This record gives sequence, C-alpha cells and structure tokens, in this order.
Amino acid sequence: MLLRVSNLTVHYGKAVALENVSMEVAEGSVVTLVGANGAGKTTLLRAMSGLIPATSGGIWFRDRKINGLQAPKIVEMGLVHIPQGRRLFPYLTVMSNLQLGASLRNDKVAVKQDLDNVFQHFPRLYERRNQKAGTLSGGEQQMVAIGRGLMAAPKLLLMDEPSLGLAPLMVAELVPVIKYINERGISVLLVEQNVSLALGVASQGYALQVGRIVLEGDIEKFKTSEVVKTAYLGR
Amino acid sequence: MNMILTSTVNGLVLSAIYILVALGFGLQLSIMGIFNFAHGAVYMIGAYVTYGLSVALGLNQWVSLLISVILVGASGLLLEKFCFRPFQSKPTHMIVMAIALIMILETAVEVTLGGVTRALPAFVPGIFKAGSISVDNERVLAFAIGAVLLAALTFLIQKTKIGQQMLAVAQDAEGAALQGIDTHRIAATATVIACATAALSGSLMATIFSMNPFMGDNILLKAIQVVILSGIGSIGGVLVGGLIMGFLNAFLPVLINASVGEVITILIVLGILLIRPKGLFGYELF
Ligand SMILES: Nc1ncnc2c1ncn2[C@@H]1O[C@H](COP(=O)(O)OP(=O)(O)OP(=O)(O)O)[C@@H](O)[C@H]1O
Ligand SMILES: [Mg+2]
Repeated sequence: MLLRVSNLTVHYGKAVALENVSMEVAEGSVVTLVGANGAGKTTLLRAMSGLIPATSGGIWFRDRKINGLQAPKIVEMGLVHIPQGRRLFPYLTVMSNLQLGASLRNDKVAVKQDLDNVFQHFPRLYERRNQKAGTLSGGEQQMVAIGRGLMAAPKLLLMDEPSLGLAPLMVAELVPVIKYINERGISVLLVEQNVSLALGVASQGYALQVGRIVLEGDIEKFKTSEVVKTAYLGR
Repeated sequence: MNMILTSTVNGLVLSAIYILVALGFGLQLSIMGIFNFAHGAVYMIGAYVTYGLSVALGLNQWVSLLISVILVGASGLLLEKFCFRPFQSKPTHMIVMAIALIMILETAVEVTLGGVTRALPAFVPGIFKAGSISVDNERVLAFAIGAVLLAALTFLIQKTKIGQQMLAVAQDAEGAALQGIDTHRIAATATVIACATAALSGSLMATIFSMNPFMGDNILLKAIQVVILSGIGSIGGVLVGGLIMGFLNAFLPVLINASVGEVITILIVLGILLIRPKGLFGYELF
C-alpha cells in the first residue's frame, strides 16, 4: 500500500479534530475524501504532510512511518500536498513559483523536462510565466498550484479542494487534469466538496463526518449512498 | 559649497549604512515575522569585536574586521535557534527577549570596557583628493563597501535559488514548507546575513564617527524608520527609504540642529506614511 493511515487521532488543543481514522491509498489509484465543512479533511491532509502532529495512531508512506517527520522530509519521499486555498507565493513570478516546487531536486535535466511538461499541458502558464502569481485569475492560480506540485516529482499528490472558488467551466477542466496526472503514474488523494468532480475521477472513496470515517469503499457505493448526500449537505 | 559637499558625502555614507542595517532588520522581520530590536546591539558588538582584536590584541585591522564579521555572523546561528525560533509566534515574548539581549550585550561591553566613547582607527588613513574635492578615505571606503555589499545582497535575494526560497518563506512560510523548503534553515541564513552585515556596518561607522556601548540604539531607530517607510519586504524600497533617511540625517543637523533634525525626520516619515500607509513601495518591487 502506497499510503496507510491507521487509527489516527488529532487534537487542536483539547478539541478532537480526527478520531481513529484509518484509510488507504493504493499505488496508481485516485481516491477521494469527501465531507462537509469542518469535517476534518484538511486536518487529515495536514497530518499526512507533517504540518501538524498526531495525538495517536500512525501514517505510513511507502512502508515508512512518516508521522513525526518534518514537512520537507515528507516532500522528499514523494508525498506532495497542494493545500486548500493554493498558498502560492503571490509576489513571485509564475516561473519562480513552479521552480520552487522543485526545491529539493538536483537533477537539473529532469526538472527542466518537468517544467516543459507543465508548460505544454498548461500553455496559459507559459504565456504568463513572467507575471506575478498573485495577479492571475483563480483558475490560473489553481493551475500554478498543480504545476508547482508536479514539479516536486510526486508519487502521491494530495489535492485539497482544487475546485474551491472556481467557475463551473474551470471546475470541469479539472477532470482531464487529474486524469492526466494519474496517467503519468502519480497517485492522487482528492479532497472535494464538488460531488460530480470527486465521483467522476475517483475509483475509491472515504466520507468523513465530524472527525470520523462514516463510509468507505468502491466509488459506485458512493454514487447511491444517503451518507454521501448528508456529508455534502452537512447535516 | 564645502558644506554641501561634506553633507552630500555624509548623506551617501549614512544611506549605505542605514540601508545595510535596515535590510538585515527587514529580512528578519519578513522571514521570521519578528521585530529584532536587538539588531542595533549586534551592530555595536561588531564594532567592539573589531576594536578588541585590532586595538587590544594588535591584530591587523582588516583581519580584525574579517574575524568580527565571521564571528558575529556565526553567532546569528545561535540567536536564531535559541532566541528567535522559540518566540516566532509570540510577538510579546519576542519583545522581552530582544530587550533582554540589548541589556545583556550593552551591559557586558560597559562593564568590561567601560562606557567611554572610543575611536576605531581608520582602515585607510588619509584624504581622498579628486580635483578640488577632498574627502577622507574612510568615508569613500564605507560607501564603496556598502554599495558592493548591497549589490551582492540584491543579487543573492533576487537571482539565486536560496534567495527565491527566502522570498517564498517571507510570503508564505507554510506554503514554502510544503515545497520541501526547510524554513528554519532559511531563517538561520537570514539571521547570519543580518548579523554579519550589522557587524561590518558597525565597524565602518566606528571609524568615521565614534563608538560607545549604546551606539546601536540610534541606528536601530533609523533602521526601523527605513523599513517602515519603504514598505516591509521590499528591497528596492529599502534602497530608496535608506537614501531619504541618509540625506535627511546628513543635511538637517547642519542646516538646523541635530535634535530638531531628528524630530523633523520622523515627522517627514510620518507624513509619507499618512499619504502611503503601506510605505513607499509595499511589496511592489520584489
Ligand atoms: N488551527 C486550528 N485550531 C483549532 N481548530 C481548528 C484549526 N484548524 C481547524 N480546526 C477545527 O478542526 C475541525 C476540522 O477542520 P478542517 O479544516 O480539517 O475541516 P475541513 O473538512 O477541511 O473543512 P472545509 O471543507 O471547510 O475546508 C473544524 O472544526 C475546525 O474548526
Ligand atoms: Mg478544508
């Protein structure tokens, strides 16, 4: 198993944010994690990428325990997190943002190749390569965030609500992007509140409700489930 | 005529030094989010280490300067790890930490060497003559070193990988960590650069003017004004802000009087901030 979370509990101060969460992402798959606002989706991704500590339980990536490691070490292992809200460097150029994604890589030739691939796939970013990232539209910024994530040469990409704040037309464009990423051999854990996007690209799913997994399994199960409707509507 | 020339030279020297010290203060502010009010004390220590090595131990003055810059720069590693990192997200605690550092460093010097004002001998004694213009070498040297160092720092920050990583951490530290950037290493690098440039600036100023254990207090106020005037996080802004401050501080004391000059300077800074609340440049020049 590429990623395995086992009985993970996370607290913010005294408040429980995640309780006994267990989940898996298989090599080569696209898995979605759904849940209402405040369910704990971002918290789970932040624990995986080393931004917050776990109270108990464990996270294994490529058979190595990663909770307790610093964020840069985890990136180096190939687990790359595209955060909610994108978190670009607004006063740096698109080019700089993309290059910073490859901060830990020394293989200049391969980095250049990956940069070319990003520009080939997102020609718009090439046109705007010398523009400051903060001046781009929301959709373009999301492309920079995805491109920056790809520049780290990930094995597993964590995507936290990439559709957030995008116009419906832009959201539809995310489907082929995620498929393209997956076709290149990169596994994806997609956190989404957009039902059709999540169910359209994932093969496996997990539903989180106030810090607990309430449904898991094959994506077909999610398409008919009442739980999913509640998860999305937040009741 | 002579007065204008002298003040212009002083303005250039003061600007170079203010810019260097302000750049260090601003780097620490934007990368770690801390107001390092002890930065002036570090500048003073730099001057005293150079003095101790050259005057007290009799080492070559240039060698003394080099050792001071290296030693004080390296002490930035300890400062970042033990004094700044624990207080990065606790601004009120950080203020106490900085005040403690100022008191410890100033008192240490005062107790061991006394509070008297001393002079650091010139690096290149003599007068620089060009046509009818004559300026003491020390000022030419301070300006030249300052300008070269500024060019080097600007290149480092804007054109190198570590520089881009510093800017990334300044703009979004968590976003930077997610790119695999070691934010503590970047903070340590920034602190070392700030301490080393402060030590150099303090030593140069001590040859032109004089030195005493409290010489850092004044430069700290200048650096804070430059950084706030120019807009936090803007290198180009610090250059312009430093020139404004340097020339005001060179001309006003001669034209009016030193204390009134200080008051007018701060009023001008306040006036500019009223018109441009984010400072002259904000983040624009990055
Ligand atoms: N830094 C924090 N300190 C304290 N509580 C927090 C913090 N961050 C999140 N929480 C709380 O933890 C819970 C889970 O938050 P989280 O951000 O993981 O939810 P989410 O599922 O990602 O929601 P959304 O869809 O709105 O992004 C929420 O109740 C939230 O208020
Ligand atoms: Mg979230």
